[in-house]
Amino acid sequence: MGGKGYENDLFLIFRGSTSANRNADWISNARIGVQFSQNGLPVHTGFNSIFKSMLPSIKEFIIANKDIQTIHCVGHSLGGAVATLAADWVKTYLKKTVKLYTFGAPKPGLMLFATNLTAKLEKKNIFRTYHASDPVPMIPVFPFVQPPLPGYGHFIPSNESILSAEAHDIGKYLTSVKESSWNELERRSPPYNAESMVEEWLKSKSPVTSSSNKIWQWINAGLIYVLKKIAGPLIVALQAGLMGMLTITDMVAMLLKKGLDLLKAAGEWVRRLITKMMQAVGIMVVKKDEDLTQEVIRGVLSKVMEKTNAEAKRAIQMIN
Amino acid sequence: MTVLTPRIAAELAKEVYFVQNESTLPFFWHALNYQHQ
Repeated sequence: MGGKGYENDLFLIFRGSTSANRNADWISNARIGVQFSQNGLPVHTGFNSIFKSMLPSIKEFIIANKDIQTIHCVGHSLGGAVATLAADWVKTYLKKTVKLYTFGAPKPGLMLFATNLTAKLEKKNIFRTYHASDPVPMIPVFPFVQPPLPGYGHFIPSNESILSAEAHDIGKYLTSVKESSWNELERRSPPYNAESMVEEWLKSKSPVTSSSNKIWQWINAGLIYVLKKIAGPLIVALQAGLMGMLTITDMVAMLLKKGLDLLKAAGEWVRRLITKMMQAVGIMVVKKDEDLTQEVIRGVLSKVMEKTNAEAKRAIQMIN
Repeated sequence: MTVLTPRIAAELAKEVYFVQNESTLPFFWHALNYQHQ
């Protein structure tokens, strides 16, 4: 409970550095699953398991303290993802005012979760802060997304040209924000979120390499752009509908293959995206559409995930 | 209605590393004495 000025406030602060995080197992492809949260929304299996293990104690404490009016959920790294799930549960079941503050948190769930949480908490109560060069907020790749959605987090630009494990350190975050108000840390979109920029990037003929600046963010943004072209507004429903039937990689590979085969306009964008992905992971680019089987696309996606996960794992292990 | 400043929010997230040890639960209830800034 809070002190002066915060008498009726409760602070739920979640660790990023835990034994669960030491080996960063939740990053490995095998563990990136989706399950329904306590509120029936699609969230990351690993984060949800951690949150569920804490829930009985959280519930007991909050119920015993009836004067609580505002609950602040705070966390860095893995702790930020768990804080997000906590904020969702508290708002749904206890109807209190909830404020969520995360630093360098990975993506906690799918679109349906992020949009639902944003509507419940309201954008103004979600303070998601991340360094441009921190690899952890980029993972897991799409279809996992960050709240607020729609909306932007507090994006802190970086002069570093490559992803940096140091950018994930909470000490670095403290240095970046300590002299600023939330208004000064304005909510803004990174360049790779603007559709026109993503289109330009996909159209560009210049080859990409894994050492290119922000390559994994561009690929993620490109993937979202292309999947929207294929599935349009159905993409949210598809995510929920396919849960449990396919892995995320299978689902995305299937959609891309369908786009390539069935939709002339989208097919061109799929081809461009897969070419960029192949270049980024160092696979020889396949020129003919008939050679781009679902299995080949799946293999490329897996390689992309492996590479982004490796960057994030390095950052997480540095803080443990 | 109270909102934590960016500094306080980051300090709380950071402080957990120093307060917590592996034998305890991976979260704690923080008695906050910061003034609202």
